[in-house]
Amino acid sequence: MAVTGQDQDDPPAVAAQPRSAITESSKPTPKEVTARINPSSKKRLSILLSFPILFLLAIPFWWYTTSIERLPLPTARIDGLGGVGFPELKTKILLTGDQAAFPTPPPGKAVFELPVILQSLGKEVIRGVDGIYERQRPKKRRTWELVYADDKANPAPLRVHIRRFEHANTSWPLEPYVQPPERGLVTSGIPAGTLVIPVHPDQVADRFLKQHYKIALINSILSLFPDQPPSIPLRALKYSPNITLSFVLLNEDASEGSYVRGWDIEAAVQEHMLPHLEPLKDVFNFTIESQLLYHAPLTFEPTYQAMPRPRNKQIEQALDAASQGNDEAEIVAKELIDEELEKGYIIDEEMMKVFVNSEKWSLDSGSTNNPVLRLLLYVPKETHRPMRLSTSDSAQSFLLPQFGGVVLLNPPSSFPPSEAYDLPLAALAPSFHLFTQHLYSLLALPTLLDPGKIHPPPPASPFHPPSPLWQGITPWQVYQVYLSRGKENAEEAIKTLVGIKRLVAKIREMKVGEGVRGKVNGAVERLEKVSALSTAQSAVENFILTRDAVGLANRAFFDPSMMGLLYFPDEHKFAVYTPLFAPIAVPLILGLLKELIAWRKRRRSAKIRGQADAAHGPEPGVEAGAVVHQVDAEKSGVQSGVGDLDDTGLIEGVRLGAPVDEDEDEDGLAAKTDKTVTSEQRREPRPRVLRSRGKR
Amino acid sequence: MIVRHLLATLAGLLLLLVPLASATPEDEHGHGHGHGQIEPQLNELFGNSTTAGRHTNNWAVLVCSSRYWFNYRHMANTLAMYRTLKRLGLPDSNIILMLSDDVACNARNAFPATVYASAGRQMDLYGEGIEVDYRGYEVTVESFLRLLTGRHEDTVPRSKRLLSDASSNVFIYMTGHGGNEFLKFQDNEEVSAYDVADAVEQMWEKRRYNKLLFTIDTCQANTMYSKFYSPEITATGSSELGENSYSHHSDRDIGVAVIDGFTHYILQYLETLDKSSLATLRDFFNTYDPVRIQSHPGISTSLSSVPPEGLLVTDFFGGVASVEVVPSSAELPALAAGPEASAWRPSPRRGHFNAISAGGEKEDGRFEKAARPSLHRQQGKEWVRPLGKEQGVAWAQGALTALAGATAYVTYLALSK
Repeated sequence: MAVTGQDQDDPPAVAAQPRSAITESSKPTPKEVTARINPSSKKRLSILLSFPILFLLAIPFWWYTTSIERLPLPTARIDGLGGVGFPELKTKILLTGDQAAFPTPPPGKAVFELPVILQSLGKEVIRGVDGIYERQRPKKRRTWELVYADDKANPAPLRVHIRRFEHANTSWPLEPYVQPPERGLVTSGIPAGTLVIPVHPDQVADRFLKQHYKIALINSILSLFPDQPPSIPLRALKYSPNITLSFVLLNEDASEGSYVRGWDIEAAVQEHMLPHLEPLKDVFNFTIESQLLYHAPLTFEPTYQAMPRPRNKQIEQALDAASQGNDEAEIVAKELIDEELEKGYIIDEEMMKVFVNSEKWSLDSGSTNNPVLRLLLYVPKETHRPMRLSTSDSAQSFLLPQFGGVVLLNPPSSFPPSEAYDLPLAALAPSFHLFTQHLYSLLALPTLLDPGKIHPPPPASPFHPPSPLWQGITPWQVYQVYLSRGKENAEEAIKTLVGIKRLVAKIREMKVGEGVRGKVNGAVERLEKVSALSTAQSAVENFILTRDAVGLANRAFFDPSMMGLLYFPDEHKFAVYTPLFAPIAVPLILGLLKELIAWRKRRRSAKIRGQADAAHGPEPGVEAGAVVHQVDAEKSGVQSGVGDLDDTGLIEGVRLGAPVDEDEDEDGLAAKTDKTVTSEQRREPRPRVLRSRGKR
Repeated sequence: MIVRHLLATLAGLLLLLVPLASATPEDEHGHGHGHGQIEPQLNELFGNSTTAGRHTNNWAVLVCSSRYWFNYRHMANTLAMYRTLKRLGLPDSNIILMLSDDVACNARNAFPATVYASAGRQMDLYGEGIEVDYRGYEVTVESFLRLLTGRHEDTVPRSKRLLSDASSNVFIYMTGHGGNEFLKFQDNEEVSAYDVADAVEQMWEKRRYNKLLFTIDTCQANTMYSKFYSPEITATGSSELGENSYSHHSDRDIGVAVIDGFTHYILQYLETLDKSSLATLRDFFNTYDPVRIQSHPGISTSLSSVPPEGLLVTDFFGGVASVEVVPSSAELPALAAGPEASAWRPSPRRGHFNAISAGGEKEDGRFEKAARPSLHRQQGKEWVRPLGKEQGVAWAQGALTALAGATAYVTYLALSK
């Protein structure tokens, strides 16, 4: 037997008591050997139990590492936001006027103070506007209030001024305009952005002056300040605080000569873009980049055919001007007529859709994840000139929703063919005028010019010609942008927060960590501030709150930690855990079962013995047991058990105690059983019951 | 009788007067308004609502989830789909291509650096302009789900993001080896139908699509879309539960199957369309033939509010939805702009122009950061002011110079006397 041999080679591991037994008897009985090798049943039990205890102890760790952190979200507060949204503000509009803009009453009549006159005019205007709104379906509401005195602490965001102006048009109706910023020594003293109703001194005495004022005021205020902030159309970009503008001049093929080598982009941006971008500094943070491309071939061949472009009106205008002795106009007229007669390379609508080859042309630096608007100035190669759009009565320009705009620029045919051109500011003006309008469309900025209602401002000095360019963005427009973008942002933030709330409830595997909760809380707080303090705060502050709220809500939604846990069906979980735990569990459970049965058996026999002791008298059971045991072992002549020698010395455990038994001799079991039974029988008659039960 | 005649004339007069009376007040203010209400309604009735409606751009996610040479056909499926999308005008920036990409340059490929989807090798799908966004080991379940939900680390570049919004139609195509409610990713992990459904739900909650078309070619493919529960999804798959999807044919020289049956036939159909096609998804689905495909393709339209008859194939497979031409009134008047010829200047010769680069020379258009005026700075929002104003300084310099000159001249005059 391997176990015995091993034991003899390696005695120090064994307890001291059985060692002495070896030295005493030269040949130890198998029982003694097994007694020495095997630990006591208590020890075995503790070894056996250590495994499940380890598992039990590991459960908290396992629980901690496998459970998904799901911090509670402020769902009630999010639900509360739903009804609030972006508040409707009652904007104050300050109405002022020059004293001289109103007629002095004839002697003998009551002279009214200017504020009184303005107030009565204001009342008329409000009544008129309310009347208009009243009649419209669906009903509209006036979102502004006229005030007549400026409150220094809380200045009105918008102003209207009635101005007596020598250079105003002398004819009716009045032509309101929005005051641009003024520079120089001679200024009107009117703050930039004021809506000005100019009146010529000759007109002041008119009988219907008040009616004219009223009409002009109603028309221009309604036009500048609609009942609803403009909604964001699909073609415009969704709000993003950072926007990159990429100005690209594309030469179709510079290798064929006659290409544009340089452009005065800095001056053009300064002149045409900054007046529109700078006042928006609280809304958008613009990054501007520009580049020149020398090779931007088209993926299709434009068709060569006659121009679909009658520009008669412009030609007539130019000819008119020319007949009045304007030399420049003569050249312009000639250019226009030449253009009309020409055949050209036509781009039809299908071609426009595939015109921009964003795959091959690198249209922006790609250095940013912010949205990019690409404003492309395309110079066709010499063999494709002149290039025109097929649509009649259109500018040579088109807009790609949410992407950018394209302007075609054909070098003038009358120009001597040169190897390369430089484009100074003047040559870029028509293109950048179009770019400006693209920008307004793509950013959903409200336009100022409403034909017939708001007029271009007079030039800074009467000696200058009026500028055909768009006036820089005015406070009226910026105010509208605050409102519309604030509304958009508040709605978007609330939608996102509600979305997060719903998703977290719906998808049980979704993690909600500290970071996400912090962002959600931040967004909710900001939105609540918007709602709570709407009356006292200005539009800018509300806008900034919503801007930050939507930023936080988006960052919470797109937080990388919200993902990464996959759905596993229960079968998968079993499939993962079973191969791990089943092999370990089988011996553990069986061992525990065996120990349990042995323990029960021991207890029962201890009870029996106790009863027997009580019946037989005070004979010491231990000795008796030992004797029996000795006899028994000799009689059987087989190794009767490993490790079943417990303190009581009873042998019953043998039958069930240790697995080694069964391995060692197959027929021993039956024999042993009989033997034990006999030994039991010898001691007492009762255990028959037990045996019969065991056999069953 | 007379009374009756009188009454009739009166009634006639009244009838004539009513429209007149009702027209007069409207002329003042409500006229434009009335038209404004009718026009959108008319547009809705007669316009092509699917293209002119709420969608402006298309996005596509093409996923080949298997790797290794013997899965050549899955790579070919995906690349062929990619080619078709590009042919129909979808720009590369709007296609996210996930490809293990290990067959073109595989040692076993007898035709290096090519991938073909047909026996006879008529068209190399691996030619020019293939932009694989997720390649090799980047194609994982996690990256796929992150792509859909948009939950990326900050460092992930633009090309690897699905930047769709509420106005985008999204087309998802997947191919690989799958089973009941799962698709295997590179023999390593698998995505379950629940994962995909949850990811799509998260897209919907964040309004990352307007309409979604989900197409999958794998064994038991129809189980993959069975768990969707978000709105506006149209889904189609190659085979039913318990059915395999078979490859269509193999090329003897390449030595492996080159394309799967389902993909082969849908591509064959898409090949007949062009950018301006008006074919609907119904026409597309009607081309399915279980006998030829050797499995029963599934179609799920119950989640979509628009039936397949109402959706154009090019709503998903096409490119730019629209362009807007600027009206001529927006142009600067020719007279105000002055003659073109006088504005243009020939460029001074700066040596011969010799290098033509597609990239072009980049001017540094960035402007420096400068402190912006006081108003909101205390809130820690440092916004960039685009350009410094130097004109004032220049003006002052000019004035100083002039003043200095004048003083010098006066002094000179005084001294010369």
